[in-house]
Amino acid sequence: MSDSNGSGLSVNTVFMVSMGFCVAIGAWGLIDPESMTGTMLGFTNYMLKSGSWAWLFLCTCFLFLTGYMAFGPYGKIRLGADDEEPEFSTASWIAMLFAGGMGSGLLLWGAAEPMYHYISPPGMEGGTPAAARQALVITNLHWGLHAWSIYAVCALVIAYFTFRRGESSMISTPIKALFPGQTGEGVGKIADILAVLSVVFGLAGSLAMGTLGVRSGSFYAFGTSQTVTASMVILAILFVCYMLSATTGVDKGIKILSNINMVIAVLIMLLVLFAGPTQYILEAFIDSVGAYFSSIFIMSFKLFPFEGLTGWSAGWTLTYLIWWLAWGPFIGIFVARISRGRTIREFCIGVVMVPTLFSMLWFAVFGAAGFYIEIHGGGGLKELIFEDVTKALFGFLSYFPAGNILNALAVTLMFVFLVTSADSGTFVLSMMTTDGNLNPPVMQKMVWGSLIAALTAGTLFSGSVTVAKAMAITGAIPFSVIVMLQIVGFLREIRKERTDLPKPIEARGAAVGQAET
Amino acid sequence: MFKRTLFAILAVTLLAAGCSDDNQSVKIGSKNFGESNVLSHMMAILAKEQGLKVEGPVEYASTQAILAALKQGDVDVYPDYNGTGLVMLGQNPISDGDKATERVKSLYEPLGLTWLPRFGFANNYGLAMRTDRAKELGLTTMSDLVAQAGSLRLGIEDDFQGRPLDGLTPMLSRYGMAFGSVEVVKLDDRAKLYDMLLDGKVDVAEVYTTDGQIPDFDLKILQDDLQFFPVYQAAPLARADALSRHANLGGAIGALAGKIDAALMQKLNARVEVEGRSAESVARNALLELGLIKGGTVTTDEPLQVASTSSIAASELATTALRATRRAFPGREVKVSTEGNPLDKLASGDARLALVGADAFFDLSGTVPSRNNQFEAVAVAGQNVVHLVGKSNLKSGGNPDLANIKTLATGPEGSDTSRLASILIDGLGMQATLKPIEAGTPEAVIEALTSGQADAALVVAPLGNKAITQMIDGVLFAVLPLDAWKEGANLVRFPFLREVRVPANTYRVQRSPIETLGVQVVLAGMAPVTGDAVGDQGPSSVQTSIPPIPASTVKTLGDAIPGSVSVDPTLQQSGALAPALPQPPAAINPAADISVLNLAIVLLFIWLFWLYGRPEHT
Repeated sequence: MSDSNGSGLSVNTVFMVSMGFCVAIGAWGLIDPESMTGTMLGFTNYMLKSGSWAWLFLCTCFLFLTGYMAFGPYGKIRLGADDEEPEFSTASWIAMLFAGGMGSGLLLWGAAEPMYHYISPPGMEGGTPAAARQALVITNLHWGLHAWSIYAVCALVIAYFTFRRGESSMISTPIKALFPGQTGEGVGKIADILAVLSVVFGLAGSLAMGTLGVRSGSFYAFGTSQTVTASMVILAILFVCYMLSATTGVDKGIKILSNINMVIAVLIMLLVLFAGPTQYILEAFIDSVGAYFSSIFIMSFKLFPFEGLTGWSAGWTLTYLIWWLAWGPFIGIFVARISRGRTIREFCIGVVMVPTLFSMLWFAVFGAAGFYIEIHGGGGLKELIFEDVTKALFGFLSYFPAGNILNALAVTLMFVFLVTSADSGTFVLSMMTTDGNLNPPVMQKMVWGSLIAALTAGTLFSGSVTVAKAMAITGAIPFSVIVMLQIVGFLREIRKERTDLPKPIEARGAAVGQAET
Repeated sequence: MFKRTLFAILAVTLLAAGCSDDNQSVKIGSKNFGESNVLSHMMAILAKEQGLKVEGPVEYASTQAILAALKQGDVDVYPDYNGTGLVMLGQNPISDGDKATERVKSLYEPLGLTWLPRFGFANNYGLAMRTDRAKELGLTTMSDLVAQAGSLRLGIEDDFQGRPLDGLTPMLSRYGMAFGSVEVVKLDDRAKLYDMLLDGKVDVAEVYTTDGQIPDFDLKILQDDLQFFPVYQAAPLARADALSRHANLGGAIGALAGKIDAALMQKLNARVEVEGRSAESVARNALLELGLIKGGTVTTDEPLQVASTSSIAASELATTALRATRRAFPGREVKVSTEGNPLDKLASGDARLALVGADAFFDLSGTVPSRNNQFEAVAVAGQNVVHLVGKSNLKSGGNPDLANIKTLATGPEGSDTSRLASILIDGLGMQATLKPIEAGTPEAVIEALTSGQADAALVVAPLGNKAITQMIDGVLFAVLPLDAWKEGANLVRFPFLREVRVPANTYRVQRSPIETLGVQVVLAGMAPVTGDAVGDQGPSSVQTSIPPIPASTVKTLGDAIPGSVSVDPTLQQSGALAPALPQPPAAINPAADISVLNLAIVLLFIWLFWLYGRPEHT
């Protein structure tokens, strides 16, 4: 299949076709952004509003699936040879997957999202103590277990085939196992191309939005200008950083940057925690742990058909799920890439529980400090948050001592979050178009990195954030179908590792086979 | 290395714990009204300037509560009045300020409490009148009242009515007078007395002499020539041990001694109570003006902008809107800016609110005005009335001939008056050409009339607007009636223009009522984006739209505008205001396409289960 030329650039069908589509869609976006965003957002909107139950149910199934994988009969299976050691230290592993999977949104929405739900919670009265508790539960629902179990599922299906079965690290691998022969090849190709497209546009859209975020961040922090030129300067620095990081590979650039990212995030959080109302925040954190885990079952299925709040579900819960799904293909492959040598149980706990707990602490710190300002402090943060979230972040930080240091750290963190997402995205794209090469050639990374930069620049020139948003999330719904197929393929394959059950010999399927035992 | 870091952290923690020792900070208290808030903030700021650690100001609900807190040591210092100090110890209040201070000092000293030097003003009872009315009756002192009181109406609050020593009955017997009638309101509704005074429902009202409304409405306080009312001079009351513990506290607060006179305090109270500014910013600005602190300490946060047009910004509606906005956005400085098109500023995110007439919501370029649903009304500031001001001699036998108007002066192109003028010309079939006046204020537009640049001027302002009243006073101009408006389809075509009648004698030389048009003036915000179901949130997302004013803020805004009416139904209004409309019964299958989509999703899930369960190929 692959036709590797001398310079290290690998040109195969997936590369060619997806490159063609990228150029076509990119051109469409540049020439007629209105019609592109209209079509793309229209599609996502329609699917989200009309099939809301399906996306929530699907993502909740992912959560239960990871629970089953961790604590069910497959927990001890190692992603690699039975005696293999993990490739990365646990700390670096967690740092890398956190930095890749999260974005600057963590900072922007840290104080803002709990405040939104505190003031106007769905289906209850706002501004009450109950609303404050519920606000942290809802925020944790959006950033916690569900987010990370989507990533975990996307990653596990790839990692299992790559390191356990020694097959190629491609989106199509589990699907080929599901459909034998020519059908598998065909469906697999389509899946690969779709995945590449959703990564390219998801990444370019996210980078464009992230660049705008950094731009307005540095406007509020340092008073820099808010022009297209400023966006271009930020993008240029961003490009250099992520290209350096991606080309030096997972074990150098990406790892180092992820660790830096983690250190800055923890530093900001500790500053807010200990310079703010420490006791209040820690009480809120402990309270939110209990409230979240005890209501996780109800919240995982929470829709509002009787309250008439379908719009709220779409605008908040489903929006988040769509984002995580949109990032699924590249975070999936990236997390799989760095998880060699871990058991499935270790993998699920590491990918789902550890980042979730960190997010919960993060939102308790930022959210509770925001509540404290609003309830016991001078107030005024609420109005700022409802006006502009970026402005509100810096308004929030100005309540703390050493505001300048915090501002500088916050802008740096927003930037590093962008770099860490972009470098893993570039790395993953190169893997996806080289038949799953675990260390893709530098040339491949250059091509994809530059293409993404070009698309991002084009989006920034168009000046429309809506274009960026449309690009970022459109891939999510088609990709969710691919993930479902991957999961079925994965479950059928891993079933064969079970020794405690007799294999279904009858040509009737698993259910019949089990019923007979 | 790690151990050393841990040790350093521990040391810092312990040090920090040591610093938060209760004795180290100055605790400042305040009573729960604007004047006390401002004074306590001033003391807090001055103490901080001296490098003292300050807690508070903490608000207490009553004098009893704050005095108890002071005695216990929960409060170190707070502003009080010497008259109150006497009353609190069961003494009769004294009307000589120096004596009262001497007495109160000696009474409080054994309690370990010290009265610091007075601020320089007294907040006494007083009788207030409208300046013009007092001049008319020739009144300057309370003794002057005695002869005329029988024909005058007095307004008081019920607390004053019941006071045994310095209340209504003792006052009447001291001066030997009786009022024609006495209106009593509740103490909490004290502000109503000012409305009654301004509306002419009462002639004399009992007020506190530092009320911010006194300079605001230009009222006259009658001099208490018999010195009947006891003095309530404000001064800081502090714990003696707090003063000795913090050597520079007394000096810091003492800087205010004699610096604040009644006029200044009235001004500061007006900023807090009337304009709704935060007590802290008022205190800080006052200290800056007094030169007690240096510049640069004022918060540099960019103010929240309310975009408005030049004609509305100049009117009293802007004051109403400004006051409400300050209430709804605590701690933010708010300013009204004058824009060509205020709604554009809203859409670009430069302004958070816009103060516009209802007409601004409509695009008039087509044959039928179409509403721009990008914006929504969040509160009603009031009503503007269309004043078509023309030369009185245009009137020939009762009705003027509008066709005689050749040039019509309006605000600059694109402004609200210019837009309304086009509507009028269109709706009334006038032949006039527009004459835009760059300044756009009512004065400037009418000025064009005086200087002969135009035959008529279009001014949009609330009824009885000062500027218009003055302009019509001086020259032979009149507000022209727009009787012809209701002929034709104008009321349907321009539903946001309502018929309004200007009552007779609103303006000088106006013998009969005039039919004209009114337009509601509203505070507008961005409407929620309805087309996009996907929210602005996400791991790496930024806001794509400017969010609407949240429901809780809309409610505060509405509450802060007294007697506010509902939004004109032709305008799109905030979800928080819009009434829930009854819905027709829904069809059993509201959308067939959605059903098909959901069927497809269900089939997909079934297919996946089948894929999972189907036998292995060999």
